Amino acid sequence: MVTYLRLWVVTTLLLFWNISYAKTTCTTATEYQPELCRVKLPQIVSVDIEENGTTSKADNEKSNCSKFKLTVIGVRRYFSRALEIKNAEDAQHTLDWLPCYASGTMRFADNRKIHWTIYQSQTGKLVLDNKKEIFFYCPDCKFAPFLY
Amino acid sequence: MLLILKNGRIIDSKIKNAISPIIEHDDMVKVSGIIVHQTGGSTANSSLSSYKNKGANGAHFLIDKDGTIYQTASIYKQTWHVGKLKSRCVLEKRCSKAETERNKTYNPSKENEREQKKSPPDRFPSNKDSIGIELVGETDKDDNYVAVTHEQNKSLKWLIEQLELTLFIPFTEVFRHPTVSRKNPTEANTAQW
Repeated sequence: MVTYLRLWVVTTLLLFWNISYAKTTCTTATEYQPELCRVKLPQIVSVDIEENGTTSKADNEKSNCSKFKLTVIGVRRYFSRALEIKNAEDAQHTLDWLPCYASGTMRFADNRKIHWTIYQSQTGKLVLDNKKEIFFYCPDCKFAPFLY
Repeated sequence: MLLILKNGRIIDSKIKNAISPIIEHDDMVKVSGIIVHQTGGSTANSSLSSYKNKGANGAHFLIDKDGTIYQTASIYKQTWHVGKLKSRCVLEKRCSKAETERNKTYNPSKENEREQKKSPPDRFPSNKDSIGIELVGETDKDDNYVAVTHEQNKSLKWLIEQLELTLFIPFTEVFRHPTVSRKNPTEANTAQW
């Protein structure tokens, strides 16, 4: 009887811990920020920067983006802090868009080569081999050259 | 004129009901304007199914590429479709000296806070007092939104006219999303009404 009781207590505690953990891995959506979830990316082995300080072709004002220059350390720092936007269409409702971006490729420890893009507005994306896109926002990336 | 039920649902043969309470927030007491968007996705289904996810955001209407109009939220409820407001006086070149000075520092959150304290038409319509219309449309590899289809523009024109008439919205208070907040400037730039 005591063993069963112990088992019940342990199971209940584990269940509670799991639910709490699941809850804390995603933020609650607000008026100005979509639901964001912590995602564990594989270890980044190498980063190549192909475009830096580049202006989006969608920008009809042809903004000067020369001040938005990311370093390899900056890219690593971004993806170590960035959170996944759970519902990509939400991003365009709530988050700001800025025309400056950097992009390139990175290699993960599992040998996958992924294309990345990071915008000055702290948003970013990874394009996987199967063309699937994962969108990110990094509210904690309050460092140069990001605008916030 | 549109027939609107007490719960904010419109009864019209041209509008399909796809209301998703998940994207609805507080009551919308007054409608000051209309904001026209593009979804970023290529199908109506992807938007409609996303509106059922916990924490999802959307607007009040969705117009498919073939011109089908869906009502996705009660018009008496706010939806979070606008984002942080840009300063309207900048666009209209009528800012006071003090405001011009404040706007020199890039801080979209503070700028939005200042705008929210104003009333339309001194500020752009916000989540609090605007109807959002989404047009299904994705972006290409260069971030450009695809052109709005002829059928979408026809439906958009009809819907805006009806909303203006029914809710007494001035025609000057209908905007493309990138006009009112910092968004990809190609979003809805081929929308016509």
